[in-house]
Amino acid sequence: MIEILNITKSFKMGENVLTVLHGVDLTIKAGEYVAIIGPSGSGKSTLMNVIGCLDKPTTGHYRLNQQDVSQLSEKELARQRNKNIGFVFQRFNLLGKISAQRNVELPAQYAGMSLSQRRMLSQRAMEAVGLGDRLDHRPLELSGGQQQRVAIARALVNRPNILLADEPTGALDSKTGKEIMDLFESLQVQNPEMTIILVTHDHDVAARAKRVVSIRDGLIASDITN
Amino acid sequence: MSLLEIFRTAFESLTTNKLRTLLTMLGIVIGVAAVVILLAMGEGVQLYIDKQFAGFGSNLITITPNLKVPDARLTMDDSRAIADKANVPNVKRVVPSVGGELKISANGNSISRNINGVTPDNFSMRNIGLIQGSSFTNSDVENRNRVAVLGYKVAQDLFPDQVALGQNILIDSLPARVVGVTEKKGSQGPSTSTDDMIFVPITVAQEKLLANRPGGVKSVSSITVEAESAATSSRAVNDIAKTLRGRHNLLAGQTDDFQVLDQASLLSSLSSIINILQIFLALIGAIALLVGGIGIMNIMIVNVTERTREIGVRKAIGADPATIRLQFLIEAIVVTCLAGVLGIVLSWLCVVITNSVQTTFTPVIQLDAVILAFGVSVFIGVVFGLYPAIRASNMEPVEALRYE
Ligand SMILES: Nc1ncnc2c1ncn2[C@@H]1O[C@H](COP(=O)(O)OP(=O)(O)OP(=O)(O)O)[C@@H](O)[C@H]1O
Ligand SMILES: [Mg+2]
Repeated sequence: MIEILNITKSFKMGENVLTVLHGVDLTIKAGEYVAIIGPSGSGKSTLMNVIGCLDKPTTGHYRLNQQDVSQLSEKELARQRNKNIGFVFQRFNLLGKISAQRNVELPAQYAGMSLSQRRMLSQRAMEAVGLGDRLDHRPLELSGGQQQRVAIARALVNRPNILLADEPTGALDSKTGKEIMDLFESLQVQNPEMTIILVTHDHDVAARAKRVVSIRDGLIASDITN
Repeated sequence: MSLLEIFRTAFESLTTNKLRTLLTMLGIVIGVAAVVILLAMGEGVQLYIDKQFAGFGSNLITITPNLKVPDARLTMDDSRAIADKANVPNVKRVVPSVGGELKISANGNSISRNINGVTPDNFSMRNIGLIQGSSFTNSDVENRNRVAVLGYKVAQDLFPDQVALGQNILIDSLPARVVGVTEKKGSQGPSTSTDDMIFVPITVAQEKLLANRPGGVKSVSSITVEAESAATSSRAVNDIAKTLRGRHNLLAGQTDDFQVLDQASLLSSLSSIINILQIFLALIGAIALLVGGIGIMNIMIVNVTERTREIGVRKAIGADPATIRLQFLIEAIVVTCLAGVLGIVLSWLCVVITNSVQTTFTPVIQLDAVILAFGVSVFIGVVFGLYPAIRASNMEPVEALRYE
């Protein structure tokens, strides 16, 4: 359960302060499938980073699973990211020098799982995204769509209850993008408790979500549930 | 994440980035090897000098004519005067000698060697043992007997398959009988080894073999004096100078027509030269280590900048700052220690190779040099590894991920 109350986010730019989020209220329940849309620069990624505990809001409250995130230490934030949140980036953000499976293993390793356990979990996650036969490939030896699948497997390996995807199809062609979306949906069918929040520019992609939140100039312009 | 896992991650990072790891190590390897090798060489020089002097016997004082003074010469009478305790109370033994290179033939072989006309004390004074026969005697000297003691190698060159003792040889055109052969001494540095010399009674050399030398029949090339001890050596030097000045009728203010060289002062002036050399070598080593250290620092800093995104990714998926810090620190420690060990191995190899191709000069690896070089490089590695590690761990994940 995500509860965002009147959140603002400002960046210091030398002398000036740039306010990106101007007081956002948003509540997302477990198991929802939400698309966030909006023009470029409207603050979508900034909001996602706050939701994903990668960044702290300047003012306002963010409660994640009844816990006030603004009170958490760096270490506890890291733990939240590790246990409860899976992040999928537009640019994949895989580590290039290690195998796909090792990439997927990393969150499990930071969670303190044993070698055999995380081998098993990472293999299972790779199979779940359809890459059971690409375990030992390095990221650059995979196609863009396959790399994004690896990133999704990495996001899923610790069974988070929130999957965040910031333009996950942005770097992919439309056919591959569609496959990634199909994958997201099948993941939610398998695990209905998992919340999926994705940022997109693509209205076709957004149309597949049950709820569409539209952001404009750092404020929620509309929030429609189909 | 457990320490073991952090170690594992650090190793993974090092082995998957071999070039980066290698470049980081290079500076330390070279720095450590340079320091260890240079100090090993310094020690080798020291040992070499010590060995040279040990081979000569200690407390020796050598007197030669001063070549800058015309007609300067030393005689047998000078030698006797120095041997007189009334003149030089601290004298133990005195050996006058006459030397020159002459042709020696025997057994169908003919070679050119250094002939040394000496008195029998020469052998005991210079610690020259005999493996065959015995030294000639004082009566051989008085009676001008044509006898010779061959150096170890001379005996081998002349008589490769026979016993040299008792054989007749021809020195220039003078027949002589071999009465002894010296033990093998090996190389003795800049001076000719006794292995390559021939010793004959000084009178024979003076009057028969080298009679046409500039100083005349009565002259000697040098006089070697053994003082009672190293402590009395400098007093003996003074007494010798006084005796000779008196005998040569030198007035006050007139320069000596002889030179007195004592080993003790030679040794101490050499030691101070060696000390300077060692300081110099250590300085070069320190510069090498510094350059290595700067290399490490550069690579470590570039490393973190280059790995900013990686750090962002690791943080985004749940690595806490302490874990990141520890990973980078362990990477730095592992790389520097490994490089330090490689540097030591490299220097050891260099020393082993140097010692296997030649034996005159033996560099010896110094434990303190090893510890110093290793310690300094590990320190540099850890300090310059820690700084980027702290920087990395403090980076905001979002910023790190944005990094291009
Ligand atoms: N770390 C930062 N420092 C300064 N300004 C920032 C920072 N992060 C974001 N911004 C600014 O905040 C605004 C919103 O950025 P954000 O990335 O949230 O937009 P977005 O809606 O995700 O856009 P896009 O669709 O192009 O990804 C932009 O004007 C951007 O320049
Ligand atoms: Mg964005």
